[in-house]
Order: sequence, then C-alpha cells, then structure tokens
Amino acid sequence: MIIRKSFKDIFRHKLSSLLVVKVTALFVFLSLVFLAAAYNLEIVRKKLASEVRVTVFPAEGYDVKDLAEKIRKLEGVTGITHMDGSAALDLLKKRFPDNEIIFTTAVMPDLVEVRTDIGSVDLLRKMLNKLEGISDIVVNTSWLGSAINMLDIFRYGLVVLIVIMFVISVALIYYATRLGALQRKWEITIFRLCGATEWYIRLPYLLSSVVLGVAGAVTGVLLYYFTGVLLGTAVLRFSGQWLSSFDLSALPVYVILIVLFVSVMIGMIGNYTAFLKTDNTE
Amino acid sequence: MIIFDSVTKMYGSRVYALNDINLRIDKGDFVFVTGRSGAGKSTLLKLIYGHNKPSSGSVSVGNVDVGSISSRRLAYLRRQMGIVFQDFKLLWDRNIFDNITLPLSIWGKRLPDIRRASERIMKDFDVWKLKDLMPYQLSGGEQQKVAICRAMVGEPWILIADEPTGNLDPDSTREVFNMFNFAAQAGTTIVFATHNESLIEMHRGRFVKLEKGKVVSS
Repeated sequence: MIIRKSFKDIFRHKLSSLLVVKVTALFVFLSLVFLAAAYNLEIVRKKLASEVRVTVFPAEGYDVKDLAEKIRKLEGVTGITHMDGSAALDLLKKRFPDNEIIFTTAVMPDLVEVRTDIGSVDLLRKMLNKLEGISDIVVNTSWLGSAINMLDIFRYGLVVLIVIMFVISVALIYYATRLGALQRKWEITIFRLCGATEWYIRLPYLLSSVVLGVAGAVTGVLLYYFTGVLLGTAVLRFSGQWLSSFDLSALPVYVILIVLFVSVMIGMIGNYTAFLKTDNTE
Repeated sequence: MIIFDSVTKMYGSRVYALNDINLRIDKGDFVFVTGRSGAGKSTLLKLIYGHNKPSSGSVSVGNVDVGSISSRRLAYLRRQMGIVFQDFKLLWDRNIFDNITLPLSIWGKRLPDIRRASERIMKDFDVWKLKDLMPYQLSGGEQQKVAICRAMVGEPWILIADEPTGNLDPDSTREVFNMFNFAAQAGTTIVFATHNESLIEMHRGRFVKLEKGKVVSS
C-alpha cells in the first residue's frame, strides 16, 4: 500500500520528481567523469614520475658494460640499458647497407641509460658523480617537472570542481524537493485532517526519495559508461599508442558504489530536510 | 462530549483569539457557533480538532486532552471526527470516489469495506452519479457535498464545520444544511461555525455566540 502510494506520488508530482532525477543523474555523471579523469591523471603522473631517464657517458678507456653493472647496484635505479657505440654503428651499417657511407664517418658514443623516479633523481646524480669512470651525466627533468606540476594542478582543479558540484547538487536537490513538498502541502494538510499518522505521510515521501535518488544515480552511471566507452575509444584512436601505454582504465567499482551511495544519501537527506522544512501546517 | 475548561488562545503575545472560554458540548448536540469575522469561531474549532493548542486551559474531546496528546494519538482522535471547510479541501488530482474514500484508505480499511461504506453515503446524498468526475468539474455546492460525504464516510461521532456554506448560493446552502441535519438525526455531535443569517434562522438547536474571543451567550 505504502509502496504503491510512493510510486503514485512520484508520477503525480512529475515536475519535481524529474528535477530530482535529473540533478542526481547529472551529479553522479559529472562526479564519475571528473573522478575518472583525476584517477587517470594520477596514473599518467605516476608513470611519468617513475620513468625519468638519466644518460651516463663513460670516460675514455672505461667499459660501458662494467659501468652499467656498477650503476645497476645504486639506490633508486628502477631499470638500466647500455649501448656500445661501435657495436651500434655496425648494426646500423648492416641494417642500412645502401647508406653505409654515412655510418663510416659517423661516431656513436657509448652510453648507459638509467631509469629512476623523479624523487630519486638528485640522490642518484650525487651518487653517479662520486662514481669513477664517468665523463658526463645528462638529466633533463625540467620539462617533466613542469608536466607533473601541470597534472597536479589539473587534478586538484578537478577535485575542487567535484566539491563545488556537490554543493550545487545538494542545493538543487534541496530546492527541487522543496518545490515538491510545497506542491504536497495541501495534500498533507488534508491527509492529517483525515487522521493520517506522521508515518503514513512521511514513509511514502522517504521511499519516493530513495526511488528517485536510485533512479537518478543509475541514470548517471549509465551515462558515464556510455560516454566513457565512446569517449575512451575516440581518445585512444586519436592518440594512437601514446595514451594506451599509460594503462588508462575506468574507475574501480567500489568508487562507483561510493558515489552511488553518496548521491542516494544526498537525495534522501535533501529531500527529507526539505520536507521537514516545508511541513509546517500549523 | 467536548469540554473547554478556561481556555485562552493567543496569537503572539498580545492578540487574544479566545479568552477564558468555558463550554460543554454533549454527545448528539447540534451547536451553531456564531459571531462576526474575527470573533474566534475558527480558532474554537481548530482547538477541537487539535490544529491549534490552547495557550492556557484545556480542551478535551471524549475525555482526551487534545492539547497534550501525541501526534499519533491525535491522528487516531481525528478518525472519530469529520471536518468540513469553507474551501472544501478536496484533492484536485483525484476523482470524487477517491476523494470521498480517502479517510478509509488512510485508515487502512479493506477495499470491499471502503466500497460498501462509500457507496451507501454517496447514494444517500445523491453524489453517486458524480463518482468518476474530478472536483474541478463540479459546482461549489456539489464540491461541498462531496466534502461532507468524505467527512461522514467514516461514521464519526463529531462533525466540525467551519463556515461550510460561505461560498454557496442559497439553494446549495439549504442542501448542505440538510445534510448536517441528517447527520444530527443519526446522533452525530455537530459543531457548526457560521455567520449566515438565513441558516441561523433555520437552526432549531443550540447557539454559542462569540464576541471578541469570549462567549457572550450559550
């Protein structure tokens, strides 16, 4: 009986019901999009920060392979490759026999490429400076630092946007439900005069709040998946291999569930508070 | 019975709506509450059905102190009352049948019982033919008849009417008044607030006259 009444109420007050569903859906959709963006920016940031490359050139008379082995043992090194300059030239001559003349006059240096994360660069550089047999160290992190700073600013910006959106959504839901409650004030007054108990009046209201909250939240999640699949495919197609190398992924299910729960709670609390605020028939 | 014991009702700290009212209405009485606008008629009725609480004194309805009971008990007390207003208070998005059966639905009565009770009262007052119409399709007199049917469908022992003929033409006024007389003959206690002179002349029962919040004759 109460459940049937809740559903009847939803259809009877289409305007405010639709408004609640739309606001909740928009909040959930935008929250998920921003969270997904922030989540993937964090992945990109981590990847960039962990892939700093330091190029080390051995001094005259030192073997690049030995040097690479010494560097491998240093703290903060996450990966290492080395290149023998003359061996590399021989390889190029074999691969491009028509252009052999170019490689005959060219000189390629021996080098060791060290991978580390951005937090360990300074320490690694100090340790490399102390190491014997090194002629030069090239670390170019200025562009990386700027990129990471940009990503951080962007990420914090998204979080601020989510908070602003949260506040706006609560306000919108509050006023939307207030509108609904005002529409029902006449009805509630008549119900009371006919002997309705408080629960008879409030329970359908609460139930319809939950139904509307869930409907809005589910719509928001569906929108997120739909646009996420479309946008994700389009972005990866245009960016080619570059973005896919960052292992971009959708939000974990638990984050979506939390957003769903929060949005239903917002809907319910906003709805019920508006009801109590409006429910003054004295 | 309904007892007002030294009841004062103030709005704010200065305006006396009712001032030291002592009144007793016995079961089966048909009481006309008369007086000018602002004399306190509506306030007196609101105290009976618990919409307002007295500032001092007590109002008891069937040995229940209306001013101090919980909202739940008040809801159950209102199930023993039928209340009729000048503005009908019908639900505009429900048809006449649903409006009349509203109290019984709220009380959780079974559908066959609802049908039986509503059909009887709607046929008694010639409203049955309107059952599928919406309130906005009816005249003022018909709307008030529907409101009275709704008030009486639960067979209350008190009927409270606040200027129920205020918006009606003389014919409809007479028709509505006859409905109350019908209820009175069945033993229902009726408290009827009005300042309609023609009705006052027609009434053969008890009068309570209010002036500036005080009972001047009873």
